[in-house]
Amino acid sequence: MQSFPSSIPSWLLRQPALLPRWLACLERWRRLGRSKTAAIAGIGMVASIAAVVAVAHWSSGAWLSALDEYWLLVLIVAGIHSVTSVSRSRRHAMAAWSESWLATAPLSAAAVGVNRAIDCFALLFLQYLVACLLLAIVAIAGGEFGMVLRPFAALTAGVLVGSAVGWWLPEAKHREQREASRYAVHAAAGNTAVLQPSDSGLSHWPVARAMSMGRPENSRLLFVCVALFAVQSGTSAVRGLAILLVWTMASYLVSLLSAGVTVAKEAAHWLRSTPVSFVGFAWPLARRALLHQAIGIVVIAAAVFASEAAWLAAVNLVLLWMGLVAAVYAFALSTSYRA
Amino acid sequence: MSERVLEVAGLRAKYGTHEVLQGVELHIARGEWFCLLGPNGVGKSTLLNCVTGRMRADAGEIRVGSYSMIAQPVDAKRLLGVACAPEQLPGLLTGRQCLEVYAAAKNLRSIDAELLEVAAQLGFMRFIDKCTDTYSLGTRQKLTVLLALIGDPALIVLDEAFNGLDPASAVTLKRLLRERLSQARCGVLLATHSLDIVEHYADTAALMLDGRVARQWTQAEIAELRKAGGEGIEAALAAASAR
Repeated sequence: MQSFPSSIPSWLLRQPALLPRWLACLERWRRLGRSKTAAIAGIGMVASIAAVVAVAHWSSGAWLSALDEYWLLVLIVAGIHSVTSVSRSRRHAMAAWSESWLATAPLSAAAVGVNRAIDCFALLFLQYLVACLLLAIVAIAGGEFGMVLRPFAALTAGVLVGSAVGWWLPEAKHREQREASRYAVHAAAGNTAVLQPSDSGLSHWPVARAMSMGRPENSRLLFVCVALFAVQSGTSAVRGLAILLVWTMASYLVSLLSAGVTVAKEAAHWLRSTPVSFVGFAWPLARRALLHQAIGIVVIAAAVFASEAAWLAAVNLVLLWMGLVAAVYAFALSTSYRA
Repeated sequence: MSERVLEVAGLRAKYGTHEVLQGVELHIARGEWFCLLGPNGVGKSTLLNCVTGRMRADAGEIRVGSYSMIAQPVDAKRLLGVACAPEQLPGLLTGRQCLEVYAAAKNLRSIDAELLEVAAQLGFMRFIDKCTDTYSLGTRQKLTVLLALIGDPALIVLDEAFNGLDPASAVTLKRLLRERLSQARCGVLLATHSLDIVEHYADTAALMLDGRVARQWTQAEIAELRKAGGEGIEAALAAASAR
């Protein structure tokens, strides 16, 4: 072996399933070091930690009592997040391995298993460490170590149990992965032999992308969280459902906003070689997404109004959000078009 | 009859409820160049995925040498050389690192000098220390072929491996494979749409239709079609497809 950096531990050289991952990390790190992104990310991280420490210093008492009171919620949320995160990662890892350049190499099942476990648990483990770090900051700032023990135990138990369940879940579904995406827009029944020029496909694109990003089937798990939240805090079921509605709708609208930006770039790249005008490009891509945004924010405003907020606040919310959406879409579409 | 390097019997595979392979039967002997033909979407790549262990078959048997790909996949894969799709290469590794990692995965102590010679003949050496995400399609294709040749495999599996190669590199590769076959070092399974390869290099060609091998041509039959000239092979393929 001649071309591997000397920093690579010798045991890793005997692990061909892990070695490419390590080499890719080194190369990514090397490229990151040459860009300004690393410095910006570093400054941002330091600023975030400083902000968390400052906020914790001022209001750690309230945070600690809330965490201690809602330990069951912490347990459930950590469990649900771990189940969805690990099962999704495992499904992706299984599908990715079958497409990997090393899939046809004579690697042992154990080597492949270790590789897959890293794919499944690495992100969750990192998130767990960040959550523990935040708990530690709050505890140190408040000087009340005893009060974080229960949330810490709940967090750890939720992550452990959720990870085990998430690892076990995707086995049965694996064979179905190559079927057509359930988020794809299906053609209406009719004469499929006739094709007409239409921009309808473009208008469906951001919505399909948002649905696949948001994984709406996972939203049903929110019902459990809100039900527990309502029980623990003593709020009414109606308000719990209003919170659920706002949360679900807001997550969809944010996904749709992000999808609009991504799809604008992809569509521009795809259609660059055609003589499509800016209006012909932008309007089909934006119209359905804008309609969904408008309906969604009105529903959210109604829920906010029903939760005893002032009607002016609800109207302000609609105007601010639609202004933000219009600005983001206009910027994304105008910069992507023939960029 | 020389030793068989691949034997596929009653192979069935499906995606969800769609059965793509419906009882495929074929075998390849050492020294044989086997071309797999057929329209798009009839299951050629799925068959190669099953043969190379990427995809689990639902029924049937695949034997590479004396090992079953289903029961002894690690032993079977030791005998395989597979050119993956160019887009599957890890973008952040250099060509040299890819070759070294793949050799390590095959438990080789060293990479033989012959492979470096082939790399030089293909004009790959000037790219070998660059990351693969900077490669052109043809250069990536060359690397996938080199990966397939590592460790002197008994069965080389190629899926449209000549796409994107410049004519000089394509001829070099065809000659190299022919030389290995004449020395009975391996068998070659190639999925292709290129009738030129079938006409000039293949020992056996099979047409896949609807998840089955619908028609097979032996070396003698291919030679007859070649002698007939004109649209010999194309016409035979069209006639078999129309049945």
